[in-house]
Amino acid sequence: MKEVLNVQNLHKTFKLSKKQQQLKKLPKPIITAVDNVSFKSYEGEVFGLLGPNGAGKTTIMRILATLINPDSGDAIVDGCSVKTDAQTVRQKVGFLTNELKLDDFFTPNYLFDFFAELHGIPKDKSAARKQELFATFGVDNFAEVKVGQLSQGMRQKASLAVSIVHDPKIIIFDEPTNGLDVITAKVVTDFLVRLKNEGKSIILSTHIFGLLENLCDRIGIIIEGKMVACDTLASLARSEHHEHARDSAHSFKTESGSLEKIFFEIYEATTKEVV
Amino acid sequence: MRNNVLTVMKKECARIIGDKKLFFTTVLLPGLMLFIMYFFMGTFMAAMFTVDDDYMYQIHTVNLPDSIAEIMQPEELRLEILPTQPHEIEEVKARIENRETDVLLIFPENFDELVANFHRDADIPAPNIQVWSNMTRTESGEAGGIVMQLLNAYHFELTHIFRINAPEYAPDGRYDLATDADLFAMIIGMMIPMLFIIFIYNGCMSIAPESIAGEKERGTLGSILVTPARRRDIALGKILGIAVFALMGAAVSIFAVLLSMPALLAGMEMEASVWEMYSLLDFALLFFVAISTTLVAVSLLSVLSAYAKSVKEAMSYAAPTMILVVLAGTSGLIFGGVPEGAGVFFIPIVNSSLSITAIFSADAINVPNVLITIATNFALTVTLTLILAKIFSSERIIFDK
Ligand SMILES: Nc1ncnc2c1ncn2[C@@H]1O[C@H](COP(=O)(O)OP(=O)(O)OP(=O)(O)O)[C@@H](O)[C@H]1O
Ligand SMILES: [Mg+2]
Repeated sequence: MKEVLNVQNLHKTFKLSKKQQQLKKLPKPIITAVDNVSFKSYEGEVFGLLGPNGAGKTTIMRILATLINPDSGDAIVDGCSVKTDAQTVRQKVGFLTNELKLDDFFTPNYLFDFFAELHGIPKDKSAARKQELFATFGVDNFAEVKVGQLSQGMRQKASLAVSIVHDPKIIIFDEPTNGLDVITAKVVTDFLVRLKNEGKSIILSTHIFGLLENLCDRIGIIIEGKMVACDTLASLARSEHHEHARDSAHSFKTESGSLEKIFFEIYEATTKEVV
Repeated sequence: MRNNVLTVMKKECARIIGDKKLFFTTVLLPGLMLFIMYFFMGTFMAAMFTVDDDYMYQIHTVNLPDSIAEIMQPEELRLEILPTQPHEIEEVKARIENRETDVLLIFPENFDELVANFHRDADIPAPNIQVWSNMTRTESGEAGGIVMQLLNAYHFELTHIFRINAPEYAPDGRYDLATDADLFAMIIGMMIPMLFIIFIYNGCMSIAPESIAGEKERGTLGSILVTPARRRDIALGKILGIAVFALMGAAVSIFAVLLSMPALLAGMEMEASVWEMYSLLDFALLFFVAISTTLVAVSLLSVLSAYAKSVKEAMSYAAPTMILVVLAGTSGLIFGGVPEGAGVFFIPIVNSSLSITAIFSADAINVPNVLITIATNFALTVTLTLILAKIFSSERIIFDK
């Protein structure tokens, strides 16, 4: 399998204000959000990132989308470094997160053309792609309505269509169903399945175990900025992580081990906290 | 991908055109306000200081002698003589004080006789004429002036000792060498730069925070930053997009000033033509000063806004700069005119204010200083654009917690 993503010893810290430092009860005004994380992802693979709040998932994804720079380490996206060739990486990556929004004052139609232009896609090509994407997501019906007047679900559909305007090779989803109702969430999961079937490479972070179990080929578990486990669901379920799970190893049912169980096992073993 | 500048700029423009309120406040409102202010100032002053052409001044007279009655007769003087009895004096004075009537003239009895028999050497004082008027009533002030002139002329005619400003030396009757144009230029040279700069800056203040901090706040800036568009192109596109409308606002403002000037001139009873007062060079310089000033204002406010997390915060950063801008707008007054040296023309906004003062004033303008102004402003805009691009490349721009 061809490698599309190679994350090498990624490290990222943030300076904190006095207030943030007190809030987090840290000894120094600095927080390590990503701590020496390495992993690979392959063409056509759905790679899941799982971890508690504040584990560093979003930070990793932002580095992959070149929105922030790592302190050290690098990520090679389809042969291009996020540090030295961010411009090319941006052409290869689509980033979907509910932190990035579509402008309320414009119509999906306008915004699609706008982003197509920024990606340097020729007019005729982008028109064809718009027709295709708008049809599949049913954006046609409200393509001329300003985003501000759209329902949450319509907005999500428009966002999805726009985020892959440049037909990216790798698509990064940060908690794509977070805060959505079940109907809208289904739009997103259906889209994920579609992309997977199309053979796209996907990096997905979510707190929904079911989604990870159904979609992901491999899963990386991140706790406190560190990648503590990274493998296929089946391998994770086998007893390879017992080095972490010391005491609880005997009670760990590998055969029926759901991702949820595996996660809590690893979490307790890593943090020495009982959930 | 240079055309990304254009793409970002076009969206910025579409955003402003699509928002009628925003368009109105940035493009039309400044000009409208300038026009209304100057126009009404002009008409108001006109109404205050002029008297209708067919108005008859009411002149109450006590003991009016024949000699004076005769010189007050001509119809073009529009003096209506109202003979009054001595016991009515207090009542008429009260009416003048209440701005109900114009002038009260009190002569001693047998005025002509007293004048004829008056000897300079004698101990008795010369006969006196009392002229009562009230200058807060335009008609009364004017009538008082007319009567005084008539009496003075009569006095000279009787004495024949000397004359002042006789007509033969100044055929047009004007001895004041200041032309109306000079006077007007002096007055507006002081007023226009401040209003002009404040309105331009105010126009930018209503778009820049919305366009930069607003996009941050609404989470839409990140969507643009994940595209391969260069940060510099995005920054430049945004600044140019905002500038287009700020410039339209500036153009409307200039136009409004020009439109309102005739009213202002008329109000000050001045005969001068804006078109004759200023040359094509003046207008060209004004145009470039306006453009460069607008660009400075836009890029300055854009950089400030980029540091803010919300439109509200951006506005709170921008507000104190407004005070500096108002101060800079009065540079002409602070420096007591336009300095000759080039030094101050390197200070942004101050240089614009002084250049505009220089352009409007009647004195010959120091063109190199105006060119320094324009060059300084363009250089500053480029620098600020690069700074904005730098901020866009920094991760703090969107994820500063
Ligand atoms: N810009 C920033 N400034 C300061 N601290 C930050 C910044 N961004 C992230 N952090 C901190 O880094 C750590 C990792 O955050 P991150 O958002 O990556 O976690 P996450 O795994 O995505 O969590 P969640 O599940 O809540 O989304 C957190 O402690 C967070 O507070
Ligand atoms: Mg997150």
